[in-house]
Amino acid sequence: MWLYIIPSLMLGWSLGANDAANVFGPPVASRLVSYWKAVVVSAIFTVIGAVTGGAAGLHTIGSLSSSNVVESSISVLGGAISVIIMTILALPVSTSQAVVGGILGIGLLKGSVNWGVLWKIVICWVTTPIGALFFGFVVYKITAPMFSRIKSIALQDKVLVIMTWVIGAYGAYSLGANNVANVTGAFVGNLLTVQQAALIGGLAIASGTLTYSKRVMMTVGKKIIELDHFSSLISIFAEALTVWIYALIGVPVSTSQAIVGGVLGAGIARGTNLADRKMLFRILFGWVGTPVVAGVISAILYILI
Amino acid sequence: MFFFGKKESGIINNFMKHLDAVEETLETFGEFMDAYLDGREDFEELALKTVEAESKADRLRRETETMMYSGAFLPNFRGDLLGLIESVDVIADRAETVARLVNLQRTQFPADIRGDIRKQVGVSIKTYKALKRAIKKMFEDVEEAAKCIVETENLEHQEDDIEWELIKKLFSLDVDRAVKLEVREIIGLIGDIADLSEDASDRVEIIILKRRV
Repeated sequence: MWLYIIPSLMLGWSLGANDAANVFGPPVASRLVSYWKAVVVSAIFTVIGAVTGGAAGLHTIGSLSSSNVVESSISVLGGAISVIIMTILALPVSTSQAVVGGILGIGLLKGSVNWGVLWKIVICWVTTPIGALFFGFVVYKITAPMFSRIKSIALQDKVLVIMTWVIGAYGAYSLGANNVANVTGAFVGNLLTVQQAALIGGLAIASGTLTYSKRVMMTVGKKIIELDHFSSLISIFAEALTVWIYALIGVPVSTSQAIVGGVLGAGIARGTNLADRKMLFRILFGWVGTPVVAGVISAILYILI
Repeated sequence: MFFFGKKESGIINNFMKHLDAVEETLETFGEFMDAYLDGREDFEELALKTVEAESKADRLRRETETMMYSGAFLPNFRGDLLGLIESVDVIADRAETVARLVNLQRTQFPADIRGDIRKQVGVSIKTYKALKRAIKKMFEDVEEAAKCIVETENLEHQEDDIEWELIKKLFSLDVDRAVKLEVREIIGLIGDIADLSEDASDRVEIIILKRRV
């Protein structure tokens, strides 16, 4: 029976390997904090987030479509395969959107989709980058004058390092609380209790962060550190806050899209427009392309199996 | 310095010693120029003291740079600080070069411009002192540092005016053209002390601007 959750563990590992970069990427890439300390803190807070704040999201994903253990496993496998294929093809991919697509693929075949839950999820996806942009802008506008009042560069540096750890831990907590539902949400009610799903999912994400997050962290981090230390930290905070709010609402969203919103918001607040067409395409493709690809893959797997 | 860690405080202390050593080089150089222009016998000894003071500054620069490889400060600031230390060190190098050249060449400064040369040397050293204040303030209060940067720039402009007036006056004198060219070279090198001080103050300004949010 437990073999059915292997796709979930794979997906959780991949999520941890990829998405820790959205939390600790900029400070690690700019060597503000060391990689190892960052991943250990990230892993610990991801598990805490999953266990203490993941319940609402797990319920939502568990109720998206009524399915048995085999169907859930195929849904998650469909999501995991689409994440792998799209990563290889260098297409923008979000685990949240892939898993929902995977569940929908089978749900549509069976006619068991809970459309009310789906609409709630889609609205949250669309408002994720917009919300993060808003928070990035507002938080920057409020905190930048306070930071400017620090006259000593020594104190400025101390504040930046403290901010990095506090915001990083909060970001990892939010990631765990929000995204754990992607990993094990499909099994809530048919194989796992909410507590079991939260713990297993949290540990799977943490394992990915601990073992394979360095490369992505450096790539994502270097893109974001075109901003100064302070602005990139505000972007991460905006992402963490947005993702945390959706964890409270109970909808898993893309941290990658949230960080894009956060960067844009902080950028606009400091007078730099960092948006481009490519970025917009990546976000739109995430909303539409990823669930479609994952849905088709899981539907094919369902028919074949 | 309360907010800095042990490593950072050690580096700042060494950097301050380096700034003092550069100042000592410039002041000894000023004394050398006074002695040379007055025709006093101790100018050779003062030239040697200038060279020694510059060597001391060099040693402190190397020590500070080695200490920085221990990983003190945030990485982006570390590079900026290394660049700043290097740019301050070349100011002492330039003073040493002038002292060596004048001592070796026995440059014949026409009597009519000796007072102006002294004035030029004095303003150049004052420009460095303003830079030194800017660097010290940079660690404590960035706004105060910005004021010292403006002071450095103003002094450099003042030195520039003196330099061009001096060259104009030199070439209006009835002296050998070879002497004129040799003296003009020395005037240019003395002016470099102020120019390089201003260049270093630009670096301080960039460090401050990079931190502005």
